[in-house]
Amino acid sequence: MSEKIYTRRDFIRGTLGAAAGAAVLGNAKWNPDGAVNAAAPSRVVLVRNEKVLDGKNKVDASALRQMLDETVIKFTGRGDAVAGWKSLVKPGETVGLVATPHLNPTHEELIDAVMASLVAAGIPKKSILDGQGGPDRPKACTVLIALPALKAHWLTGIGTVLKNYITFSGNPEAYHDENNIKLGEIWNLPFVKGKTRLVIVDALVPLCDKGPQPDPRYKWPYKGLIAGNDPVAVETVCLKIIMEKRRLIKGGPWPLSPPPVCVEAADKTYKLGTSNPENIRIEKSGWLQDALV
Amino acid sequence: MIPPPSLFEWLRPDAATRVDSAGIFDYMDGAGELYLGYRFDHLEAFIYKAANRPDILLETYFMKSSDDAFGLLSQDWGGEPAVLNDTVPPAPACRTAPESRALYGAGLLRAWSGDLYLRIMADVDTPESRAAVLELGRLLVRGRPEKPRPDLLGALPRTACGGNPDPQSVRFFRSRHVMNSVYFVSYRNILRLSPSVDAVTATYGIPCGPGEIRRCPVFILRYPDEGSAVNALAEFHAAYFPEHGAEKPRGRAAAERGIKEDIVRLYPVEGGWAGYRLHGRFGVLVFECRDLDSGTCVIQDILRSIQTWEANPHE
Repeated sequence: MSEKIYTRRDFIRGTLGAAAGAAVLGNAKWNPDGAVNAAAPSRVVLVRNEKVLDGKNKVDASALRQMLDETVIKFTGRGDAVAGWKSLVKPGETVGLVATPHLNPTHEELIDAVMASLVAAGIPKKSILDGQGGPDRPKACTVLIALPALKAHWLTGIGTVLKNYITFSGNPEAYHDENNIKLGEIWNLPFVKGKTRLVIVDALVPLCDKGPQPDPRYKWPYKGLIAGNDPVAVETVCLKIIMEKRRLIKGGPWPLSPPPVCVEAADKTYKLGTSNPENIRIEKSGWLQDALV
Repeated sequence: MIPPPSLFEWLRPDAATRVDSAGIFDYMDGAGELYLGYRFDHLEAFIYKAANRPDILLETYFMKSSDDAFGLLSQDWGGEPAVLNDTVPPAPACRTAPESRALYGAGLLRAWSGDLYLRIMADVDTPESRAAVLELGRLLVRGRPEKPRPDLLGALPRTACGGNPDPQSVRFFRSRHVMNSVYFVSYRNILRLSPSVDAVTATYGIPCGPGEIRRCPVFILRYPDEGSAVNALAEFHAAYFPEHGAEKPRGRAAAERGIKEDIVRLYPVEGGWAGYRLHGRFGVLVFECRDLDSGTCVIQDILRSIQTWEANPHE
């Protein structure tokens, strides 16, 4: 029996792996009032600050640190950022910061702010590692903080949270083409699973189309951080923002092509979290104009 | 072609970063498929720097043909048209595709000139950097003999079933990765695209009733020979329309894999009617048509256009 070849038709039918087309076509059912139906929804924190970038998109490090503090306070529910970080990371743990180095890379200012916050929370600087790279990086860490930047991707539709760990596999090429639907399995590798305490997406200046090189026409000063501990929920919110921005640019639906099939597969197949908007509670703070979610 | 060592206040290093096909994945985060999907030879990159000015990245892609360089520009027709060269050839006979050879937007200039594709990008778009980016483009392109656009563009009909093409949707490509970035069909190479295949696409707005327009993507694929086209369409049929079985052998060229040349294959699928037709070494594909009649009408108009173009090639 010949191997099944998946096509656009399978994608539209919702039979391409676990992925259905609605979310990536921009038709996912987001409640307009943000109401969620799940008893225990995944929480995604969105913090924005209009002043974090100047007119040339240069980062105000102080404003960014405030945003980061607010993000952690809001997510952890602690009274201050130090207490918040302490609830996420304990002394004696080794923390890997997993930033995105290419195509709309994570801002250095964000990496620095996270590192400074961890140090302020009592984590020695020597215990904070660059977690991005081959499998040895996560193996050396007990805790991972994912720091991807928000971007669409030419080959995978979206290239933000799930794709951020692709090098942990030791064989990134194995996740190209239709195998990008399997990106979620990397998060279940024994030396990765359960280590990610927080995902913080750098949404200061997202990229909503193109690649493999950045096209500035598709970057915009969103001035946000998006955080949570459910990587699929965070990715789903990111996808919503990108799809809304694309809709605004074109004045109508502008689907990502190829479709980001990895998001729903990370939910349905790899059980990493939820891609169902009805099960995601977005907690917004700060600048709300053009939040797109 | 040697870029100028200085440009207004900006200076470049003496040596370029040279990237060949083996190194392109390291240079651009694993997505070198875009360039390798065309016939890429190498690229040379410089960063121009000036005190208190944004950096300007110059990337010159040396492609193996002007069609490949055009194809890269055709990935996105957005931006503000810029004229860099005063030796542009006469306007093409077919006006389906935009005539721009250079486009500027938000600090990025993209241009094709013969077998070169240029990306010149300022870190920050300022009046000074814009002037520098455009001037650099002019200096690089000026005096170069320009080439015509890919001839296959001439096969796209001016209208299909009464509908006009969206010029912004016109692309020239050779790879499944590029095709999927335009219109996702399959992660597998079910159309056997390769550097030896020429392909064009456009989306036509087909009138479907009072005030209703249906957008139908069409593709014209030119294979090296008839046998290649037959095999490719047979594979496409098997993968995309598996419920309709394998094609039965008919006709001379289709004897091995079996697609009769003069039969339009159209099927109702998710999102509308889709289908194809073989014509010599050409494959014609349509997607998202409203019904059988509409799909047939579109394919027949494309076929007529190909036949007219074959008799009197232009572009």
